Amino acid sequence: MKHLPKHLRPRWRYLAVALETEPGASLARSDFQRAVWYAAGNLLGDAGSADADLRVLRFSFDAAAGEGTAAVRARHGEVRPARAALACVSEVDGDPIGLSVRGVSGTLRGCTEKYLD
Amino acid sequence: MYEAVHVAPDGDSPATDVVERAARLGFEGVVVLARDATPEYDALHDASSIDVVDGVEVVAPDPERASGAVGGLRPNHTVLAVRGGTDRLNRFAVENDRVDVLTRPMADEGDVNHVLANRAAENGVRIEFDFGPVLRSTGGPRVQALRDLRKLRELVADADAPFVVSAGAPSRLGLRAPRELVAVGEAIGFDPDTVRTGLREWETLAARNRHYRSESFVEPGVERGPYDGDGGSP
Repeated sequence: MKHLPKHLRPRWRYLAVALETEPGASLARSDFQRAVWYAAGNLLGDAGSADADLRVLRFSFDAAAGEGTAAVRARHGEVRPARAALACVSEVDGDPIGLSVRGVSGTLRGCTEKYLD
Repeated sequence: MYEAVHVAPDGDSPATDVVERAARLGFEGVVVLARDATPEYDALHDASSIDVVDGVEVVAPDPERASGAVGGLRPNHTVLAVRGGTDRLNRFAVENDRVDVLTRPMADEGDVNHVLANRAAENGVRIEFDFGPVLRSTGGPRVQALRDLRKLRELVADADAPFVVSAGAPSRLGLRAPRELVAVGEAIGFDPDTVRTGLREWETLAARNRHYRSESFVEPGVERGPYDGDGGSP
């Protein structure tokens, strides 16, 4: 389908998220994405979750250290609900997880360069 | 902003890990609510960049035993909290001005009404808004916790009672940054400033009690100053 004219394209904000688990716990991108969707669905409801439209775009995790990072996309204007939903991700696949938002950026590149690298 | 934490063996993580993570999340200090834990506060102070407050949480099955514990522990700790969870314990805590904080008042069978909220306001007992179940449970228990938080919020606002906010973290991974807690609070109907005030209240409480326990303090408004012995001018 032909892509949208610029003024009709959704505007996004990119949240840089730091992840932490107990050392040795495994954490896969797909499981994390599912946990984020569940958390958003449960806290914000279907309508709020669809508005926030959270998606995990970058994901890296070092299982040995139990530390990782992710870039999560949210719609512009929905950063606060997105932050709240992310805070409610307490475990992924049975493993407890600690999350914190390091920063929010208007471009994925800005998000990665400023907060994740 | 400060946060209340539990450390091993009450919680799942050692005190150093909890304090280190709280510092990374941007908290200016933590209040360790100890039951059986005996953290080395001096070592924690030296190792950490943030303030660590020695607190104690009285967890008792009934007010009679809680009363004995409050009397015994009050002189040795900066912050004293009583875990609620039954109507009798909640009532005991809010009627006792030696108690600083009533934690988890709505947990289990506990309930709070306007009478208790007014008593808490009179005695300066802070009522805790525990965000733990919002952050870590789902389904029915979470709906009940949200309903209870709403009721508590309305009662506290009506009575103008003091309050604190915490994430009720069982381990270092359960801690959430102040901005995250504000965002969660907003999503469940709290005013953002209310959550911030609740997080700052731990700090205010610790500062007040440290001042009360300092050697210069005699009673509110009366302090030992730097005067010489002849009763003359400073």
